[in-house]
Amino acid sequence: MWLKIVIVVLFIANLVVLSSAFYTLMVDQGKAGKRTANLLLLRVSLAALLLAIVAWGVWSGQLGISAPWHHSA
Amino acid sequence: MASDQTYEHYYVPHNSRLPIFASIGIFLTVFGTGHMLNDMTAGKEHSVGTWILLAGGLTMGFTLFSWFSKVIEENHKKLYSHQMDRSYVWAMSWFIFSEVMFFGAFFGALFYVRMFVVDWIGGVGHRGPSDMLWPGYTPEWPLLDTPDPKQFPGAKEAIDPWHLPLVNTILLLTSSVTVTFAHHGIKEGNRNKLIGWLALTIAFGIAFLFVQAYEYHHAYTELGLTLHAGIFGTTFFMLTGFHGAHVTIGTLMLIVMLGRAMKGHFSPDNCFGFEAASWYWHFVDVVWLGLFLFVYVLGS
Repeated sequence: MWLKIVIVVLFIANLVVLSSAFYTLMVDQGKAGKRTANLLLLRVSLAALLLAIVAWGVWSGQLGISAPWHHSA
Repeated sequence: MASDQTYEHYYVPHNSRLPIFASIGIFLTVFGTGHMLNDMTAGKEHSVGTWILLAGGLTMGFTLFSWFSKVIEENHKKLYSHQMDRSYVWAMSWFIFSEVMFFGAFFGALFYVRMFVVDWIGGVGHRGPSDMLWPGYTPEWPLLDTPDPKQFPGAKEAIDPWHLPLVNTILLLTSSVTVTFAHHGIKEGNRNKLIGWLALTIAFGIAFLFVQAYEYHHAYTELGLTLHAGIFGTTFFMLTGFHGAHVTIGTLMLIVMLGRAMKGHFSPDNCFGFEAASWYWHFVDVVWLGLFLFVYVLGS
């Protein structure tokens, strides 16, 4: 269960950082500074971490394939 | 008292034919699509609507290309004031807002069906007439059956998330990494770094679309998972299909940015167009992460 919570938290963190990058994009308007680029780098790092945790969850059996697509009718 | 000097000059283009072309293009696109769908429903193999749709698409493509070229040219001639720049920034904001609401509606529909409707029809709360309309209904997700299997056959099987969807997740995530490298290249004033990583990002985007097309073909021809295969097929194709359309838009944006980068349009302190396209690509990636997690992995 805690693994799913971590995944959801990481996903929300992705949304928060992406929103922050949008704010800096609008404020800086493509002028000097790397705030937006750095925030987007953080965003993609969080996404990679999230995917790694999902992969680990599946590999260790803690994250079952409980849903869609894998069932037979 | 206000005078001409009180306000910034606000550039207004004159005598442009482009809005008329855009109206014709949109009309042909919608009319052609409607015609094509009607002919498909009637069982006709060849529809003139396909050609009308193609003509509309080409007209829109030409119009948008000409329009964007004109805007870029006007920007380079420094015809735009700060107020005009702010207008473009706000236009981007409203565009993103509409995108968020768009996907919010489809994710909302998915959550609503899965968390509430499936159980309600199964008897949680007041079942009402559903037992009469759908005898033998079992509340489960994914809901592969339909009330009338003859008219709307349900899916036989579903797609395994750990093959094609996982490949696409890795492709899109990697493309976000490469576009971020390109972003840093532009900020460091390194044009070769920008062009190289941007070209690679576009290649990943196109690869994603090819994998998705293959996945859809597999779903339709081998699994019976179609847009008509009940609520499961409908939500699946609506969410992933519109996401694919946005990947296409993002790829086109990046191709335009690549052309501009090769022409030397960007500098470290003047690159809003690129940064906006880059951000949009990250947005599309986050939407896919949401799809992968909530539609494929954490379901049920």
